[in-house]
Amino acid sequence: MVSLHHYLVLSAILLIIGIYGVITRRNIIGILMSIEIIFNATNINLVAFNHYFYPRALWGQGFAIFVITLAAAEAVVGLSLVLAIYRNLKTLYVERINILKG
Amino acid sequence: MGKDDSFHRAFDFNKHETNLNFNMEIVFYLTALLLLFSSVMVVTQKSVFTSALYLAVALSMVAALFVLLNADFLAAVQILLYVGGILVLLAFAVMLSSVEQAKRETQVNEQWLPSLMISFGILLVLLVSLKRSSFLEAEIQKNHFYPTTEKIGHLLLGELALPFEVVSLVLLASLVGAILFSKKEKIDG
Repeated sequence: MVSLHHYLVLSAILLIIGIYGVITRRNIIGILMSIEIIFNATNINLVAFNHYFYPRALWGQGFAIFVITLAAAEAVVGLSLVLAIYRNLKTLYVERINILKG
Repeated sequence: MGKDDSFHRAFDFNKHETNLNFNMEIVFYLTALLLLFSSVMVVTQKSVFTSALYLAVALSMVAALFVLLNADFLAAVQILLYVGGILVLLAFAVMLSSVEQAKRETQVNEQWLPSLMISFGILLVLLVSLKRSSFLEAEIQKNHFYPTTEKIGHLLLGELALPFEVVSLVLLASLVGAILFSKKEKIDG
């Protein structure tokens, strides 16, 4: 029987994979993908708690829907920003985007 | 809940319960293995397009986990929004901004060893706090399948109506922001 513990450990490992990607990736789009992995770890957590504690009430799943919606909004704005940066600076590596002095 | 009961009698989902549980364990471990493998590939691949494809695998596996957790509507939303929407957007951004020499350059900065240690430190803290937590003794529910779509609809337009409307405002703002940022103009005038 798969218990809540399995899901929590899985989502913890997924979270640290995402954190590692956010810290080490040089490409902005790679960083955005790692953020998506972190959101998915959160969603697994929410749905697993919902399933194992309150299977009749669906508040965890409703919250996960909001997380997915906000992830979509974040991806839209983030990717249009990335494309604007690429048009102006011709690079996607975060250490080269350093025009903001001060 | 009379409707649910008749639904259950019509499709006896829980007839082969022990057999189902055995299979679910195998399915869980396979799904988790594939999910972890593909997400490690997402953060370590050199080509960003390849890691976008691995991200598709990872998101589909998360949808499979939602199915295992009896969240049928959320699994459909995951496939539709993530794999069908966000991932296509990511692939478009990768292809619009593809740099030819990117495959020969290293994609990981020089901080990878400290960040690996920080990540494992966070994992250690999480696992220790999981082991000490008291909610792990909660009763394990049997795997009764209930369709969740109707209840989520009632929830979203009932108790969660205010966040629902606020999120629609956020979506409108992000739409306007995306149009604003993708207009052709120089940042520094």
